Amino acid sequence: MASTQRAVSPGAALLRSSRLFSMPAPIAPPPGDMSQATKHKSETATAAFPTHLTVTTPSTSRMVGDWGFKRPLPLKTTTKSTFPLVRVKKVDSIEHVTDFQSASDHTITLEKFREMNLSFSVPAPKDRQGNPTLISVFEESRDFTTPAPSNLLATPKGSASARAIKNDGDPLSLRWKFRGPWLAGMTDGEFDRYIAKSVRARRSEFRQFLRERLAAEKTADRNSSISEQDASTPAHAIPPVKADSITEEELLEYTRGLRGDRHELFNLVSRFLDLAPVSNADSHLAPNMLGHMIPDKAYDLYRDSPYASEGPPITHPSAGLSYLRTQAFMENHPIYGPQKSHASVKARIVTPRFGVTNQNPKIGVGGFIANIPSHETQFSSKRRHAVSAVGSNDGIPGLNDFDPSQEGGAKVYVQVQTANVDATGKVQIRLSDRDLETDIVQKELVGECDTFGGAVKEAAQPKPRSQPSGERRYTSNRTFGSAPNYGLGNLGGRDF
Amino acid sequence: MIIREFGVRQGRKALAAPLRRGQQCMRALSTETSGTPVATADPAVEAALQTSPENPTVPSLFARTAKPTRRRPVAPDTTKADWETAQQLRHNLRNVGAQVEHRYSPSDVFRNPPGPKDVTLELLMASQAHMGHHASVWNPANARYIYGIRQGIHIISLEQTAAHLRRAARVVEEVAYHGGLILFVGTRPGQTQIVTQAARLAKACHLFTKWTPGTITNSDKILPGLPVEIVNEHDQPVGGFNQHLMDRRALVPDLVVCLNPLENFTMLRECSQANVPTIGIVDTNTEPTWVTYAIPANDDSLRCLAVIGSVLGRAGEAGQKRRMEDAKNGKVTWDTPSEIKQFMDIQQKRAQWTKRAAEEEAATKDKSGGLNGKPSSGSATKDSEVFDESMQKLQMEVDAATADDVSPQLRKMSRRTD
Amino acid sequence: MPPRIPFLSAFKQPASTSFFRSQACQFSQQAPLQAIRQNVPSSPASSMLNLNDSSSKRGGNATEGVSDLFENFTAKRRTQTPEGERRVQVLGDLKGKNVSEDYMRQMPRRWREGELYAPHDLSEVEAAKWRKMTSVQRDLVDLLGLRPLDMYSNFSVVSEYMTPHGRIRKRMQTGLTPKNQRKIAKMVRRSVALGIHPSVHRHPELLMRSGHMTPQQSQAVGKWGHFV
Repeated sequence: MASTQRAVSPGAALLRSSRLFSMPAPIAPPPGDMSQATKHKSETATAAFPTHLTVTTPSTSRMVGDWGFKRPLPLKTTTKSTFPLVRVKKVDSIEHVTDFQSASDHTITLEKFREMNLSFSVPAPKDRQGNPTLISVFEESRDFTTPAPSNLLATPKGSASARAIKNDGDPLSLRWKFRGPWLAGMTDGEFDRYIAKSVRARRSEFRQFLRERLAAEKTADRNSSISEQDASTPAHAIPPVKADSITEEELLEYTRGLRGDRHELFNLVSRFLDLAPVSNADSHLAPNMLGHMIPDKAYDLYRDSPYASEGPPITHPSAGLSYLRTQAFMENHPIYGPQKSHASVKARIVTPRFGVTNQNPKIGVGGFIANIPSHETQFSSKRRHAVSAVGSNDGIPGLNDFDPSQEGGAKVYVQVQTANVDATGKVQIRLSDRDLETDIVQKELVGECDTFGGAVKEAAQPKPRSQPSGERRYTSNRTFGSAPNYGLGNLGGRDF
Repeated sequence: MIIREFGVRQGRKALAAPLRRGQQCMRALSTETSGTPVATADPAVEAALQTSPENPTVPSLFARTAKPTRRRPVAPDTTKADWETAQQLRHNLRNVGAQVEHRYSPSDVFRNPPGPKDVTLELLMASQAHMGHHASVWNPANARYIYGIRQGIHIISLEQTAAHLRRAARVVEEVAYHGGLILFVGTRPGQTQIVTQAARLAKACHLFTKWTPGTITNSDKILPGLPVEIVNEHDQPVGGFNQHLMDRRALVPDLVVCLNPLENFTMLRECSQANVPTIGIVDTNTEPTWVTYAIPANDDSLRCLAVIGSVLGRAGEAGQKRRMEDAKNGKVTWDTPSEIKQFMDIQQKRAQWTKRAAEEEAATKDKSGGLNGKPSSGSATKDSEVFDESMQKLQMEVDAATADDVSPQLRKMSRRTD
Repeated sequence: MPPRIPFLSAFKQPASTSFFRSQACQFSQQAPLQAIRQNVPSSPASSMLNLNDSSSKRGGNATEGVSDLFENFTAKRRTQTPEGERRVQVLGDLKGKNVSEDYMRQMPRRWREGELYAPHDLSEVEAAKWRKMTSVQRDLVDLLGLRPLDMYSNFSVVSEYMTPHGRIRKRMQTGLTPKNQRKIAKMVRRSVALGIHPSVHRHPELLMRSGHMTPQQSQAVGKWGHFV
């Protein structure tokens, strides 16, 4: 190790430990961004994920523009912003200016996301009820990138390890990182470039790979025939077939056979290039695949990879946004006690249903755009205007139509279920159906609603002057926030 | 600190919101109860709720949102007493907890300016002295100062900066020690405070506005007839030079410190023509041969400029202090300028001539028997004696300032030998 | 657009006389005939408008229609009856929908799942940027890595960049960068010059496959319904 560490001057050592030097290089912008190909776009729109480090400074230094960079940043913009957060794209440019912009968008989004206590889960196929089985991305069985080298090598068909893999599901496909690309997500141009740059140069390597594969298959065949003929001879006593002993003719014959068997060829190529799994369970693809299969031949399909249908994420599947493993914890309320569900999140209705585009409404949860639940929920009500919104389940004001009279935009309390990262690095937050009781408890906590205080006042009123039942808000049998509803039994014999 | 803050916090909360019905409120907030304080089987609370309808019990959690049904009796205002108690509490808890160390404040460099002894690599790095310009706009003559490229910019070697800064500080100190006239120039916005502070420390001149081209090379036109003063080695003004001051030329600085050489190329050129040494902060895009003593550093960061300016100012201050001490011990560290020496010679000769003429006249009058010439000759002798005394150790200071208030001010000390 | 003749609705109605009545009063401005017209659901649009009209349900004679018309003009009637309430509500809904669409037209950004928004993205400044047309930085040819000059023989691609009359589509319609538009135009010209593709209409094979053989108004129709 001593040879690798050069002796550096004190100033150099100081510089190497400085904050300027520890600024990471910007990461690549979100891939597959087709917005550049459209006429309607905005350069200043918030990107799907941050690419630059966020920098902040103490208020005293901020007042003189000192952010630790080459020159003081202009006071006019940096001192007026609420949050002292900037991202510096260029410390110095040839125009002698520091290229910076505010980074409060991503930083505050991260803060809001952390407040939601969401955990990232492996994408699971959505069932009709919208209740997927949530597996954390931090589970040991899922959170790995490098397979054991033996796994990557060709496993002969019919061998014990291949059978075990088939039974348990291929552990390799549960990875989230692959060296090769996800073919289903590439455009033609990208695919051509990939072939030209990365694949074409590896021809001889692939032939060697095929040789080894063929040698392994031959060994397995010979062993099985020997064990069938003579059970007394152990298979491992005979030396295995070497890859060098495969002749060109044999390899040519094997290659010809592979060309007729597209599925096997794809498996071999994807093993060789370590391609990300592609979903072949799609209904329109499966018959084609079946047509190329040969009877009595074992195939290992990449069926159980969670990333086959949507593509593997470009980051760690948690994207560094949350490190929670699970949401299986219970929230406690100071008065009502433990809560059945997590606190509702106040979300913004960014696009209503009946806009110009006539698409599904988009909900903004903590800065992330989310879709409404796909199954039948309270969001599915197509009624244009909530006629009797108060106390009724249907009709979320502002969900169907944009209402300009609503101060600050339409908001709705939502229940957040889980989140995952897709192939382009975007965070997809899945919402579940609304829970009105939870909404009311949360509204009361933040001071938007006066359930408990109103009940106390009401109870404090003299008995004979009790109000008519029409004016009491929550007096029906379906009481929100009452003790029986929270599993505490009918303690007082009185609801409110 | 944590303990102290905890005490203050708890104390303030306890003082700010005195709980009326402490027990009931605590009970409403505790988890031991049913969670529905109203729906309770507790007879005491029930009775309280029943018997005091005009004063409903609202738990403190909802005190903000709940509106009282009737007006409560006005409680006595204890704000002042509470505040005093909190102050007392804070005073008593003053010594509890950890000491928070004062690390950095942007005004430190002006409150307590660092001197040449305080120049460390850490200080220079913290004040962003190592950040050069974009790598494509560099001047290859600065290659020896550059350590490498990072984040697209050239990184200036901190050792080079420190060494050159110390050398420049030494130059400033010696010039100040020998009574030279120093000029600090920083004409970019934000550099006003830096140059004025450096000039105040080093008893020098400063310039924070545009350098009027020709102030040195064409000073007869630019700076004519500005007030000039002649001082001695103790920096006390000396009279009797009115005639000289009437027709002498404007002063030229003996050292110019330039914080932004790029914008002041004209001034540096004039200085080189007038053989005035210059000190300049040279960033990676600046030509280092424009100045006599280059300090490779970041010339855009005000923090870096403030550090460098205060170091040079402190150096000048040390030089001035040494000079004054030597003057007290009778040692004068500078020579009288030749034109003043010449003027004084002429004056002495003229005085001698006057004296001789007076003596001759007195002699002729004595011969003629006149008695009125005595007092006048005596006064002339006295005048010349006073003048000779003042001529023993003389320092001249000339304030040459243009008529405009914001134009440069030059201040020069000329020298003579004993 | 030719006037719509409400054939189907006329034959679907049990009272076949209403068809002729509606034809008779189609262009009359007199109140009784208008009332008759209101009885007849002549077109889908008018049937929607008359959805909540009480007179359309009664289906009486012209006098009743006139009286209903007068009643409809009184706001009191409109608001007090249940039908009137419904009508007011539907009108309010329609108005709200119009307002909503007007506003949403000013904010044309189509949000996609997983995108981020900050307060700035909802601002007026940002909405104006999404309304404005800018030049495309990358187009389909770049994204797909196509080489247009090699595709002159692919008449489905060539037809894609032609109008039905054989003109090269302009850049506004193709959404290409100037560079790639030139390439595409050259591809079309080359294809036409080689005789691979007709110069005045799309490739016949595509026309046969498309199935849209209905003639447009400006197109002449031959003897057997084919294009001339």
